[in-house]
Amino acid sequence: MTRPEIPREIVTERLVLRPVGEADAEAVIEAIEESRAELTTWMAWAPYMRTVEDGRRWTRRVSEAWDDPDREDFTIGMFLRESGRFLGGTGFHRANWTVPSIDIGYWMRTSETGKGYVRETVTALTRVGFGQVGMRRMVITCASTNDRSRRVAKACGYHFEGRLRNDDRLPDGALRDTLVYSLIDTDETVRRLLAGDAP
Amino acid sequence: MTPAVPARIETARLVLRRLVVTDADALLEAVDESRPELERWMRWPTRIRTPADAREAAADATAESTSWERGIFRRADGALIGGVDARVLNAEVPSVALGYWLRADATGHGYMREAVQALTGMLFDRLGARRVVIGCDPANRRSARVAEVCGFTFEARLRNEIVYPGNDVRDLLVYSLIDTDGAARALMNDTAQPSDGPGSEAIQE
Repeated sequence: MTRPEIPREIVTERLVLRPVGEADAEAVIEAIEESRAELTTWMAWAPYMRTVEDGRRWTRRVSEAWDDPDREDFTIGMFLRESGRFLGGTGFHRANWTVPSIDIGYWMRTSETGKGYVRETVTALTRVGFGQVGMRRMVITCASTNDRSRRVAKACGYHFEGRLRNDDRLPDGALRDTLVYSLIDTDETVRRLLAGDAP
Repeated sequence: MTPAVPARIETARLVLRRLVVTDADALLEAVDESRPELERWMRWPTRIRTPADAREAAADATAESTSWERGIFRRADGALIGGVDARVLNAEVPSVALGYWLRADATGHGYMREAVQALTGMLFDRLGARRVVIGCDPANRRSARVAEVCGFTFEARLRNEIVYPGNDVRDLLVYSLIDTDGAARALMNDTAQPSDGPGSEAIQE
């Protein structure tokens, strides 16, 4: 089966969504540093992203991964269209090409939260995923205690499927439950999104 | 270190043990007898069609650090009536997924409940599992029933989650048991006895 191509650049009303490159390393580390308290709670990778050299290694790795034919993860940066400012990370993850299905993940730098950028991003990725990529299922998962992340999934019209108990551990080692949200190709939300309506 | 899943587990009516090459004929017979049912829900039975396939499957001695397969044998007559397997999903938790099959003419006696409970008890006791998962197709009522009678909690219906060979995309029901559930506590230090009998000496664990 030929794998569908995921577009390298998606432009929305206020944002450019594109792979990060080595030139973004400094901005990425600055955003992480500013958001360290929040990221450390939820993201296992936060402690490993401290120096610009860490940022270079990471941006190199995730941008090269875009060219790997067996790739299952596509890391994407969120940038402001107007200024080019780096806002946070998103991406398509854990692709299952037999369904096909894929997960969406996201984090937003602390100084830019509350402006709807993540919703704008998720809506755009969802439209592209079901539209030109041809997904049958798209998933958002989050720790049951991550209210902000859960609100994004709900606001973007994702359906709550269930709570998986003891599904994973938080970076501090505590067990966490995982909430699973999904959209499938036959959902009304998807139909409207592809028809060009806002969710 | 004590192996998480002993090479051999004995319950009231069953022995769960690793298959050996001399089980090949019994395996092929059990699969052939139940083929339509098995192939409806599982991928592996299509790979067991000849005595040579069955020998290869029975002799497949993979290292058992993150997955375990055990044949289910009836103690009364020694017959191979099915199988159970456990596979680590997330080693950090740790969480484990269970799979199982029973030959068609052995259903309806509670054998699978007995086997799943014995294996699950081992996973909590000896692996330190915090979560054990059973996933099954919404139309596979018999499989869901096993999860329910073993006290697993229904957690989610994942839509368009899985593709079976030659089929369209299907939903998946997720059931789980976690270590603090009453049904899990009842299985810990339960009646199933690990044994050092025949079949356990060649096992690397």
